[in-house]
Amino acid sequence: MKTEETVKVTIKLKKSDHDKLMEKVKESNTNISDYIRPIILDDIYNRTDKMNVMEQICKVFTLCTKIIEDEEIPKKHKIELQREAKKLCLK
Amino acid sequence: MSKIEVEIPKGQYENYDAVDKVISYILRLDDMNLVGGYGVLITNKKNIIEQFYAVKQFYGKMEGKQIRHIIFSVESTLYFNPQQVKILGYWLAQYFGNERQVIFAVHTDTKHLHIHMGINTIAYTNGAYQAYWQIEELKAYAEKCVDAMADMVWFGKSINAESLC
Repeated sequence: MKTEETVKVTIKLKKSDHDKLMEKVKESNTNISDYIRPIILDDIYNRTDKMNVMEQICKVFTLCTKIIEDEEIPKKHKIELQREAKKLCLK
Repeated sequence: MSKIEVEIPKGQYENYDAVDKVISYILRLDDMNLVGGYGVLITNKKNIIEQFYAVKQFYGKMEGKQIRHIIFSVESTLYFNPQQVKILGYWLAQYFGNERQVIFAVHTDTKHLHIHMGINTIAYTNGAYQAYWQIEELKAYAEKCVDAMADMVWFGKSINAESLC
């Protein structure tokens, strides 16, 4: 059963999704440095040979969860962040 | 009771539905404000279970113990509130969270606030399987975390959580 191959294809984030995310960040007038930049910079397109896709996604999830837990971040940004991160969700 | 009790419930946890059952139990009080985790996006019960399975499927490792279930019970006379115990949960979870998915919830339905924690036996970093941890080392770490939480709650000290590990 080629489970590994199927999962790898399913979880790949397309470049177009990445661009859409950047566009949404711009439209929402969010301060990229504060909220989204650490995630974008750390996303699966910047993975090194040392990190595989699964590790990259789980680390992004950890970061998203930490940011969402931060009380100082406005609720609407948390909702947006969770919505975008959920696109990486593993099925 | 000591400051914090650490219990690993008996059970094989090898059944195909072990992940579903443990995570369902962890999230049974249905209060997502008291839920936290590492390596997972906190969405809903069904999706979190899927996230755990996705790691196992990615590495093709579906055998053995599927999930490790640990319970941390906090002494009630410390008078930590549920949100503080949730922070404690994150400190405890980081013992595993740099390598493995962790999902935990604070349960408030008994005299002592307690944390139910589920740890994926398959590491998201490299697929390594681990189902046992030295209980004495874990207890020592848990006590260190509780001492730090008491310093923060009762004496207003700032704590660098990463230095605990």
